[in-house]
Amino acid sequence: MDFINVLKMEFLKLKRSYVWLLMCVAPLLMVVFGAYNFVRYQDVFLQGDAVPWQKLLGQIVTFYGLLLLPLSIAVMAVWLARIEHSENNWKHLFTLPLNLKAIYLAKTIIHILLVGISMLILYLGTIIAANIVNVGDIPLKAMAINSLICWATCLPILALQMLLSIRFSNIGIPVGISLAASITSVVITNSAYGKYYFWSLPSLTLMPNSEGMRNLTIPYSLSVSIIAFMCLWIIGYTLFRRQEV
Amino acid sequence: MITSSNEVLISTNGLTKQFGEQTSVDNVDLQINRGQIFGFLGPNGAGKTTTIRMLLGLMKPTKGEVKLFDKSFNNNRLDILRKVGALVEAPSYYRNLTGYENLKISSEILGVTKQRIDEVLEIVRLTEVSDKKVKQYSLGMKQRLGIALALLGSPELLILDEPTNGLDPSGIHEIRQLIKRMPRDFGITVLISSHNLAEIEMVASHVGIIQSGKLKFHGTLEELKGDNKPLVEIKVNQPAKAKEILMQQQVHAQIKGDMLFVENFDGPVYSINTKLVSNGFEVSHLVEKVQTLEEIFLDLTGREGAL
Repeated sequence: MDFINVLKMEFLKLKRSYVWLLMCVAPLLMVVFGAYNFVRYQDVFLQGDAVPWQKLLGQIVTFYGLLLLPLSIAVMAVWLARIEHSENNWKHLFTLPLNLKAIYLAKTIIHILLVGISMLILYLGTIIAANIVNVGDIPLKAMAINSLICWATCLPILALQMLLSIRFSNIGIPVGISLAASITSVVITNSAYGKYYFWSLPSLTLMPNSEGMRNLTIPYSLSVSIIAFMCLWIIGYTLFRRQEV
Repeated sequence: MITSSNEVLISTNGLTKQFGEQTSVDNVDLQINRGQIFGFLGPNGAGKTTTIRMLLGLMKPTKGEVKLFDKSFNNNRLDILRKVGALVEAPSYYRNLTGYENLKISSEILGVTKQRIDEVLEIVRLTEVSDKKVKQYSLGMKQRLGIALALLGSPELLILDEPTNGLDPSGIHEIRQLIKRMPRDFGITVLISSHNLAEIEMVASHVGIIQSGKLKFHGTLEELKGDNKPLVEIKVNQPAKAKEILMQQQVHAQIKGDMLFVENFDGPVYSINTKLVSNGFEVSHLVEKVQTLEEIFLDLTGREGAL
């Protein structure tokens, strides 16, 4: 039994279930909504020496980074765990000759990849929208880097949501915690404490620099996110391994 | 009848599981040898599923130990599970996938070929519906898919927890036939749990009876039947005098009403009749009553529990 087989098994489970489309639809929706909003109020946005693409980006990512992205991460985690909670599947999975670590790791990798798809769609969608509404040249490279950093800052949220979703078969707990944390981030992100709050990091990394919110460096965001992710993953896996089914 | 070998596939020693104050499984010693169909019998809530979950390493015992293939789970989990197929409590499946795809998922881990998937579909007769989504399956079909999943890795030991739960009579019949074939046709040892005595009686070679977490009986079906000696019921004109005569022959009778009862009589029953008639008694009624398996079962598990 190789890890690649476990990964293949986990991918097979996604077949003909379209919940993962959420990860494509959510960023797409925000691109359309943000672009529409930008066009509608551009007179207001473009007063003074405002940079058009930054205003457009701000419209697209503010709501997405604060609410929709963390929520879609939570929903995906719930779904990845739910397919095992329902129909008695943990029991069967645990009687198969496979390493429990492999299952947990495979689910995490799929989760990370799905968030990556969201990031990619957000990135490509923003470029297309920028061309359509004609905001001039946009810094493709800087935006690509920001999207990748944002992906990394999603990791601790993702690990926590996976931990909760596997631990509690009642979806109210992981979704409720995610909602509370996201709503709190609306307040915290704008304060000086944003850089210490995991739910603020994705939206802070996505924001264009001139918004004045970006007071975190790339090494800081990366190291904090990856260390927190690893800690949460290990706690999650330890709880998972001890779980009696 | 298939003779079982001496190789022990499952053994438990003082297996105990407590949930808080409640002892769900209490000091259970099981031994199941290769080639047996072991019927694990007990009323609902007696501790069957908890025991099975501990056998499969899904749950840790509070006390005692489990050995499968003479190995404990601590360091040999994967080695053990490679040789075991199981269906615990209810069938497991992904509803958005077809029957075939459900088997395909497990086949990735078990490393079996497409041909084996077709084979197990054939065995449980799901070939025709293998391309349908499982959410459209009837309960019986899901149950059969669960058995197919358990068989997929060509296990040496098959553990089926209440496999006929919720099935209609023809479904039950079918699964019974399937289980009977296991040792004979595939060399698979089977542990099947049930609350239904009749079902176990029809398939099992060996039986374990559990009640309130305690193992009340462990042995062959014959031993279970043989344990109980007949009760002789006699109607005779002078019961008190007859009792004395019988006492001289070391036969202990009791008078209840106008009848004589001899419990646990192990000689030929006609000898009682001969004795009484030759002593001038008028015997109008003499019956040897053997307890049915159901009565034995109810005696072991307590009749109140059966209601």
